[in-house]
Amino acid sequence: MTAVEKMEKLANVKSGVTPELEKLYHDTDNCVRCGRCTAVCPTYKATRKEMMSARGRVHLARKYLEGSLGVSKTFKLYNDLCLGCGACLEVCPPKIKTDELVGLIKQDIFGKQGHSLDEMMMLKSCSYPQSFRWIVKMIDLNKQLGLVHLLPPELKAKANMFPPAPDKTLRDLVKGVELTRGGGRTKVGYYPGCLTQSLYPDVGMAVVEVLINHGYDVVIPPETVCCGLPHKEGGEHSEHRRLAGKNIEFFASQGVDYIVTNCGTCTHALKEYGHIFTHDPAMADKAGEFAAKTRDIMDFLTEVAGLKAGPRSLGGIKVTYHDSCHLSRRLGVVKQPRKLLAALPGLTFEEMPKANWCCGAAGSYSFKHPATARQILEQKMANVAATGAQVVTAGCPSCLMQLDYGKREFGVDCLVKHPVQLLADTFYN
Amino acid sequence: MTSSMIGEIINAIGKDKVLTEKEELACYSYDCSTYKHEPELVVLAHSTADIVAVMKTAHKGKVPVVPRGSATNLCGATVPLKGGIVLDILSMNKIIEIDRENLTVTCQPGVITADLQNAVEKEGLFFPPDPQAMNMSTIGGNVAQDAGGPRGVKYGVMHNYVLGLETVLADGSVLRTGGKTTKDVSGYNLTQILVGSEGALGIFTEVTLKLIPKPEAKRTLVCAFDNLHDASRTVTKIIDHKIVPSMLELLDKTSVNLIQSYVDSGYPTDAAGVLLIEVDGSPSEVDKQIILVSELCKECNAREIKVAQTTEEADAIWVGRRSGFAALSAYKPTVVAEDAVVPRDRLPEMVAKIQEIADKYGMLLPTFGHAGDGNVHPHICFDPRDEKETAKVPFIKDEIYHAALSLGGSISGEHGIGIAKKHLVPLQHSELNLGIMRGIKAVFDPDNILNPGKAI
Ligand SMILES: Cc1cc2nc3c(=O)[nH]c(=O)nc-3n(C[C@H](O)[C@H](O)[C@H](O)COP(=O)(O)OP(=O)(O)OC[C@H]3O[C@@H](n4cnc5c(N)ncnc54)[C@H](O)[C@@H]3O)c2cc1C
Ligand code: SF4
Ligand code: SF4
Repeated sequence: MTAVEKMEKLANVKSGVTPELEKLYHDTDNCVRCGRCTAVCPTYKATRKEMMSARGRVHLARKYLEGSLGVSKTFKLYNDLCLGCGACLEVCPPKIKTDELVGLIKQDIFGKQGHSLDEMMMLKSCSYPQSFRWIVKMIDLNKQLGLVHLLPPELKAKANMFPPAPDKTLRDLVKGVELTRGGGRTKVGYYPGCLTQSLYPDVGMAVVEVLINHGYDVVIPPETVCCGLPHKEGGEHSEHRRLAGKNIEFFASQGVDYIVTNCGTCTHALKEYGHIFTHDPAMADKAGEFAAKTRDIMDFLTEVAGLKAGPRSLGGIKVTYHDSCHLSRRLGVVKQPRKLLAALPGLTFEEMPKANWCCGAAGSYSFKHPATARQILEQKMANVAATGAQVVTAGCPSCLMQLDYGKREFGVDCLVKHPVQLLADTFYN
Repeated sequence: MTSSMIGEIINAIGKDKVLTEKEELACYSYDCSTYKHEPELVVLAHSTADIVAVMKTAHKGKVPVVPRGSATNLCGATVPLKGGIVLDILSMNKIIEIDRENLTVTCQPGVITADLQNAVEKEGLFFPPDPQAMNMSTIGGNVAQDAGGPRGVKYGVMHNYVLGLETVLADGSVLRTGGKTTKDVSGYNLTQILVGSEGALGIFTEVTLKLIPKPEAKRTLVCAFDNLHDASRTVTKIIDHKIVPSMLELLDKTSVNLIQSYVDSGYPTDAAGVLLIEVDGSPSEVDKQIILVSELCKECNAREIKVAQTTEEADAIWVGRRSGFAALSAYKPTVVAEDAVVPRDRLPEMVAKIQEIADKYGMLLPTFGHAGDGNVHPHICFDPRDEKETAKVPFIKDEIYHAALSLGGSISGEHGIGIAKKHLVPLQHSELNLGIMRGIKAVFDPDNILNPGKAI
């Protein structure tokens, strides 16, 4: 027999690694480097760089956890460039959770090095609704005054990503709305989320309208705060719990039967509340109850409310739908939006290729990494354009914003809407 | 590599096409084998000119260069064993021309195999080679590995389809071989020497492939046997009756069970062996053939025969087969896909030998493969943290190939040699053969800078 080759011995995790990370590390023993993830990872497809695929990220994570790579600028960057979209997990044979792995490594780095000034500002502004609104206003003012042109190109691109700020926030608009005319069947709490509040009040109004048309009483607690997801991802766990606690209390005092949102990310975040109060059993119970009541609006309408569209025809428009990552992969809301759209009079639905590929919005990703996000968006907009649809819809305001930017940036002639806006249109004369 | 060489490359092709950070280099150290070694530089080539520039510098400094597609090869072929440069060609991903009159397609090497197949099928044409990693692999990698798949039994593998190549050689010169003609007997066939050369003779920058019209119809059946001998004997029987199925795949019991628990493909889990058979051609032809094939299976003691009645049913059957490697990787942390090929009539003996080896070492060797052309993939599945198990792996591997060679076969049907089987090459080839191969390598690459340390 010929000389047989030696098999390489595997390394192990360095000391001081958290148990969660150690478990995920051991899962990555099973990465066979088959490359299946490379066929679906949006950041890899856009850049064709190995560090931008799950296979690459798993390799880097292993080296970091084994101690042979430290925290460098490059290491931070490639972790930060993961969208956390979860597309890789769907095709990975040993089911390696690259999104979670990268998320925990990012938190590990924050724990060691704290946040950059940008990150701090972002998290602080998310903590308080007023400051978020103020930022949106400032960007808008800059745009109106034409000052954007004076900004360096990268910042200019960022400012252009924002749609024009509406005159009134949702809070301003719903002040005068009588919310109980649904008929008092069941009380539904509506959690609008930061982006809907500030930038998409029309979507919020459509949600209210549609719920009332389905015979519900709608309650919008005036003081809701950010869902806390940015803080969780930033490793700011106590702030995350503080925000969660506030939202839970606001709705508890209203005695609602359901809590709906029109944002996949918010629904996901609110549903997670059930797991974050591990050291506070009383709060954990309340949070669990809160999480169980929470549903995405499209899921609620089709699965609970017994969807009914209004009589008005949409006039034969062609519509396509983009699957938001949180909504489709975390919450499994995939059939519901299609069911909703199919039920609307005068609408033809056209599925776009790769509908569940991330659009590049991914929370603050598009602002932090405009160049990569733009490449990812370009693929998405080509798929939208391929359908020839007049309206592209999505169930998350962050995606709506990105698609709206994409249509302007890549000259795709279509409207961008939330599916409930189209549903609401069938009720208006 | 010196920093002045890196500087020279950056000057020639631009900074954004060059990766030097240690995190970046780490990500180009592996492929789908178990080997790893980091390069000193990664170049993301966007054009033939980029590659020429890199090769000129590498040639001057005698720096090793390893071309790389999607790194899905299973033999260490893209691991830069001696450091140097990994030359990534993924950004050269344009389909240049689909020529309907000559039935050819010309493309850059970084086109993903499935994208090329979809593009030509839209035109009613067909590119048969179907390596099971086609959603990830590149055409350049397929040519360099002479890849094939289940359709090989009827339609052949990559080398049956490569008509022309543009190749950058070790010194940066650009070689054009072949063209759009399907016949060409002028001089030695350099194109075919380059096919399967594992990146060691040159870097492909343009590939012209033969296409065929898309078959009108196809039908699929699954049949189950109580022993593997009957299953493998059916293969020769079918071909003996002058039917060449478009796919003819054999799966053993372990593979069937692992695949079924990964994705329900409708395979019977209690059979010792399962054959998946597809016939294609005109609608009337396939209807006749599928009946005849069923009868032949019955004659060979098939216990259960199921003919797919809808396209969806047929698709599900083939999705299962395509998930074979995935199903095994879900089972054990490390899966090494071995790749032995024997003359078709020796297949029953080869299958029996694999079984013997599995029993001897007390490990499962889930086996499936392209039985129609005598090519089987026994898979060594193990946990690299289990020292006892790991220690057996190299021995199992060598025994498999000794068995294949003793039956008049080869140590690789389609996965190539790379690092994984280099030590076995002298067992298959005489010193005379090897001398000629080394001579060819020396003509193309006198300084041995292209993918050194692999294959021969
Ligand atoms: C799940 C799975 C299933 C597989 N199934 C099959 C199968 O059924 N049949 C089969 O044959 N293989 C199979 N393979 C192996 C692999 O997919 C093939 O070898 C494929 O051809 C490799 O393509 P690639 O783009 O990944 O090439 P790489 O792995 O990147 O490279 C392979 C070789 O080609 C060289 N190379 C790459 N590009 C060029 C170029 N432009 N010019 C010159 N040389 C180049 C490299 O140096 C290397 O030697 C499978 C692999 C996996 C992971
Ligand atoms: S799909 Fe999973 S196992 Fe395969 S390379 Fe990607 S992460 Fe690794
Ligand atoms: S989570 Fe998304 S971006 Fe991150 S590696 Fe997986 S597929 Fe790629």
